[in-house]
Amino acid sequence: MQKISLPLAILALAVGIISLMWKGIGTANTLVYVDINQLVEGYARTAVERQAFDTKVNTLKANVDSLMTNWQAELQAYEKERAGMTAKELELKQELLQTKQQQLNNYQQAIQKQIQEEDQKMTQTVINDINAYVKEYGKREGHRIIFGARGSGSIMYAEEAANLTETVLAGLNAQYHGE
Amino acid sequence: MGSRQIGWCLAMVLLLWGCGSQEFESKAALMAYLHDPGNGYHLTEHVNGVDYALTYRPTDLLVAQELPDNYKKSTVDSLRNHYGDYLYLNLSMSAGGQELLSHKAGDRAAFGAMVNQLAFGMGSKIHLVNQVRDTLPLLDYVYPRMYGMGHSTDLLLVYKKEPRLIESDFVRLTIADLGYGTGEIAFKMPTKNFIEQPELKF
Repeated sequence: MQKISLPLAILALAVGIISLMWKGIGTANTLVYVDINQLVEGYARTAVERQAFDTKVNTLKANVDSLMTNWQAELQAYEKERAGMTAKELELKQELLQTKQQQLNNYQQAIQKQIQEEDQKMTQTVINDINAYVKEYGKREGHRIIFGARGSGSIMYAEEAANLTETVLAGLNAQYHGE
Repeated sequence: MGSRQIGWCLAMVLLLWGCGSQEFESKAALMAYLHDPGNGYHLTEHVNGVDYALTYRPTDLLVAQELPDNYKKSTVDSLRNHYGDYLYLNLSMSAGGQELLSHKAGDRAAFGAMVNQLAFGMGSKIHLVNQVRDTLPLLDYVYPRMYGMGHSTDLLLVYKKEPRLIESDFVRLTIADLGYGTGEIAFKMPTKNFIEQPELKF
């Protein structure tokens, strides 16, 4: 019995190693892809970041709106009162309104720039997370290459089995939720 | 002893040798090992022209830094105990091969804000988060100013090795966007790297 057990153990070990290598080779040679749009939209963090961004944008826009309302009220008051003003008063008031309008325009531009920067930050944060996870997933699963399709024809045809989007998305969301 | 017993003993020795910490003869050899990305102690990211590198600083490097010329074994043990309770990480950031501050040189207000951010406000920009998304507080950090002479902005980050850090399978170090359009950068590190950290032969 003992004479048989040793060759059997060696055989089992050899079969195990070959099957592992076969799996590795098989995975490495498979062409797979993920749909980037689907990953971005389905990633739980995207919704959280978008909500935070919307709140920030609304606050910034509200500030601009209230400043604009004040300026318009001041302009209307000037229109009403201009008939009773002296030439000097008219000149001063016009100058004041023009300066305020210029300041308001500058502020609006600065806010617009800030909104663009916040938008880029939000998008890049989500993309960074996805890139890092796909890289980690690819290494872990032994893929030589994972294509990124953007849903606009960059991959014309692929078998459904080559689409890893759902698997990657599940892992990505699990990581985000700390599971 | 039969051949099977010898085989088992050999396997156990190999297993124990494989699980133990790596030991190095010199600081240079240890540094070379740490900077080899394959060993998992040096992680890099490149986003929108900004390079980030995170390198683990093992306890023995800090011990070696503080050891006097004529030291006793007990001094090494005492220093290892002292520094062993903390996690040290080197974070290096550069834009176009220069310090981050160099890119704000044209704008006095932005430059001043960045100096203030780097010197006092990085605690609110850098977070170490464990597997269950629990944030571990940054104990302290050091930011040596290089006044444009360096090629990167370097920080030494210090965290307490709490059970919730060690018991987690991995931790993520996140760096918020510092105004370079990079978004949040995250480095994922397995905690076994800190537990089985490489050592120096003293």
